[in-house]
Amino acid sequence: MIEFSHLNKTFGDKQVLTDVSGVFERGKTNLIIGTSGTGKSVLLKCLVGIFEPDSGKVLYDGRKFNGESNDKQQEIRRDIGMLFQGGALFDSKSVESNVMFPLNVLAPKMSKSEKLDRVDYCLRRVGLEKSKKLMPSEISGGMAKRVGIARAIVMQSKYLYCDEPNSGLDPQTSHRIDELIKDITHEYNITTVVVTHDMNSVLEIGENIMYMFEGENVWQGHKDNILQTTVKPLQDFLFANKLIRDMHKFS
Amino acid sequence: MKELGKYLLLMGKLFVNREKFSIYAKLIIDEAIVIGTDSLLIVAIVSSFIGAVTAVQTAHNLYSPIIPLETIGSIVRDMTLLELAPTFTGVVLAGKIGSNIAGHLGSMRITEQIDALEVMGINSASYLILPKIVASLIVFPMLVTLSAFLGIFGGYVAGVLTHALTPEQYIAGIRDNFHGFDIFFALIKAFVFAFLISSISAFQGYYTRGGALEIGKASTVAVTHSCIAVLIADYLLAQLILAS
Repeated sequence: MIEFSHLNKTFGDKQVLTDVSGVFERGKTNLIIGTSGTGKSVLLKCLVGIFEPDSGKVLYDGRKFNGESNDKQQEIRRDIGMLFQGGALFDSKSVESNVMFPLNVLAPKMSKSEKLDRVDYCLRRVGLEKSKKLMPSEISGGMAKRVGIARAIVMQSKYLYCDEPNSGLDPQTSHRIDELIKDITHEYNITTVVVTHDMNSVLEIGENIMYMFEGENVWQGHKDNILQTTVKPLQDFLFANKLIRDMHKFS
Repeated sequence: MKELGKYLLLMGKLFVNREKFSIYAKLIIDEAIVIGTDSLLIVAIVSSFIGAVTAVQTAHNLYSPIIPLETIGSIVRDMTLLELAPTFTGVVLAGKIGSNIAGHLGSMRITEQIDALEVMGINSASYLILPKIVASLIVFPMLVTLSAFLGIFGGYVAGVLTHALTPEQYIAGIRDNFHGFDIFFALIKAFVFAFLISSISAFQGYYTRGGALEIGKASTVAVTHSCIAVLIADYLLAQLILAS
């Protein structure tokens, strides 16, 4: 479980996060949604420690994260896997080496055969066992995201973050990535946090949804309750999507 | 001053929360091979020609019959060891290696590869920059040694081919009044330049923000700042070590 309270973050004069609090539960796909520029990615980067929040607290299963020493932060970070928007694969390494990279650096005592088995398993899990010798420049955007997921789970992380996993993907690949994230979350009982503005993802995998508006957490709940919201910015966000408009008309 | 502080903090960050030595050993060897092999040809060409030019120009300026022709060899040797080999190699490598380091780290930054390392719990500064600096510290003195050898050899070839002096005179000149400390001084310069070029370029690349345009800017700034730092350090070392 990831808990965070009263997070504030400014860049220069611009307040990007204002008193953001919330809880992301274990074994669920937790979604952060909102329009572009509303602070979703900044919140995610504060939670993983890429940005240091100006104030507030982040706890990983009760373990304090922000403001702690490098040693303590690194200990928690080793339980975190993250899928970046562009995949963030290492260009000079093959698909297999990318997935093996965390094991090589963080688990040097593990034998080579164990590492290879673990990598093979993760690549099979994301359906890329035949592409392991390819370089990142030789694979598609959707494949890069799946390699990113394999790399994020290879250390058997307890927390999985995904920053806009569907951006730039066609609907079919997008659906496949969503299914993969949902399955992995339930299979490994991990805490998954997905930043997205894709309404299909919200309706398919959103078990705990947090809606952000102008740097604030203005609504949090289950996808089944989202359509009954009375929060005006969330209503606007939802009804900007044709799928939701059609569903609403139909109901 | 703010940039200097940020640079010093980055240097400090290289030595905390490092990974195991065995991980760095492989990275250092890989970086050393890249820096060495990539720079070998350009260093060889530049060094041979500066040695040759020094010999020809010295011969051209020696018109007093009381100055022996062996002096050409001595001047080429001293110029090459004290100044030309370390400084020219430094400036050439600032352009070649500096831009490469800044471009590589800059592109890793904007494609979130550095963030990916941080999220994995790896000290990205230490993992990416320390091997480059250590590899430079190993390879630069080798390149400067090669440069000095080829510079003196280039002077020999040019001096003999233009009939400015005989091979025996040139050899006698480079052996005359030789100070072993000059080699040591050239190697000190090589170490200092290696650190400055690799660390300044890494600093520029590591903190790149934006897109492709900013990577280009970071590379340019890395080369400019490295060259200036090399020239300032060159003067300071000469003043501190030779003038004392």
